[in-house]
Amino acid sequence: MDFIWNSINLIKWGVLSGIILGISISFTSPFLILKRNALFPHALTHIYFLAIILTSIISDKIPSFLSFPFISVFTLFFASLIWVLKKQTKFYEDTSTSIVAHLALGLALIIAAKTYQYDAKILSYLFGSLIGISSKEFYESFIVLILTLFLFFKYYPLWIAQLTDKGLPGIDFKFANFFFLILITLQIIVGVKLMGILLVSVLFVFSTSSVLKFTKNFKFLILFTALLNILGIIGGILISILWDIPFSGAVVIFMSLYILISFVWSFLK
Amino acid sequence: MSQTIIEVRNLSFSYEKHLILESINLKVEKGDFLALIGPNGGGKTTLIKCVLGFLKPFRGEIFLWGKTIKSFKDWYKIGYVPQRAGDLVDHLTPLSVKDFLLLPFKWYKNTFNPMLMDELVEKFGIKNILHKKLGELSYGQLQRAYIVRALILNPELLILDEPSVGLDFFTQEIFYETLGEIHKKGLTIVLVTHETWLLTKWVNKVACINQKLYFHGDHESFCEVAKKLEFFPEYHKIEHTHW
Repeated sequence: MDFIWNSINLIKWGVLSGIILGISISFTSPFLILKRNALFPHALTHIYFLAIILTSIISDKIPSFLSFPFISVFTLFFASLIWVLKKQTKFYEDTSTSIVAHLALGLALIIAAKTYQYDAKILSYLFGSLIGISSKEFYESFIVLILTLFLFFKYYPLWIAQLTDKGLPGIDFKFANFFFLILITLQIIVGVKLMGILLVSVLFVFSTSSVLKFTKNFKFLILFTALLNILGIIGGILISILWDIPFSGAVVIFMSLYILISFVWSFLK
Repeated sequence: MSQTIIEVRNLSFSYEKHLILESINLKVEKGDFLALIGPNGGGKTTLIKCVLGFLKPFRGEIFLWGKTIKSFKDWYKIGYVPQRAGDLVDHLTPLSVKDFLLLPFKWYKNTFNPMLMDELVEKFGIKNILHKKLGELSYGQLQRAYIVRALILNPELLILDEPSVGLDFFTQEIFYETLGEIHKKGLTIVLVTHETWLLTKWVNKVACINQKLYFHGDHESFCEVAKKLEFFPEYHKIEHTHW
């Protein structure tokens, strides 16, 4: 028991960041799933990876406090290519998403190879690092949560509206969608340090899709998604400590139980 | 003196290089029950989308209650049922029918009238499914829910784009009877439809569109003009059977 407490004490900022992030994501993930855009966060991680590689190249030329805004703006800008491509070529949104994501990842790998960046830092971005989370990341995730709550209460009627209507007289979805994209981007940026590029999108998909099976109420959906995300983070931490396995992988294993339960529920119903 | 609710002036619209609407001029006066008819791909839905501000025409202007679309703010006066509304909802959407009906009050400033809601849900036969998840409804039930949602706002102008697709004949009758009733109370209605049997029964104005506006007037005059319209032989048929 002491071993577990000592370990958790060592990663306390990671635990707190994870819990805050889990709550934050529960306010946005339902809309992604219901708009059949579950792979969008995963695509964003690819773009984010390119942003990280580029930032590391210019890191000695710009002050460190500018790297977060640079990464955010670059990720947003590159992600907006998805809609440009969709509009100009009339591809489906998921096709455009796939093209842009793979383009970003391809560029990132080439640049990383040419600039000798295959180091431990890159690996920590790929798989996440609980120990690497400091109070700085905790405050970042807290700010993202506050922003999420603010934008959610301002725009959720319009986010819900798009689940039942393509257009409403006099209602412009542009700002609501733009701020939604900003939120997802920020949640990804904060989440990558914890869960890694490869697995952060798990937090957007597993809990929400499981709860969706049981509910016909948005409040219930968000509340239980948040609870399951928190449980997933804590469960993942315990499993990773006890079995000495990577944290992000442990979270996936733990959250797979939710999918299993909803699978069994579908049979019994 | 009657008030003009919708005025379309010299409107042209194209998707890329494909011209859909050409120089449309149309007025909808207060109290009109206008049927917008024409062949598939004739531009009826496109015209509606331009009027609602969803699409921007490359030429022409649209006025709502005398104001240009840009300066028009009172969108809460318009109830709208989109085409194939039943297709829009995902089966997982976590909304009960009741929550769905109340949604517009989150983005428009209309006052909620519980008595009107009770009356409408009763009339359209969705009272016993109010607690159901939206995704559990059949196509026809969903369609009815969309219609009730538009009417629950107690709008001054109701725009319906083929609203009765997916409804059984019995519900269609009730639907149009209800529309007729609320039209008599002063509601202005624009209805995109292919159900030409309606023209004689409920509608007092007809506009016929196939890229251009071929006709706009009362249905008696339309009967005469329909003989000359070759692009939609269905109208000749109704002339013999109903008119």
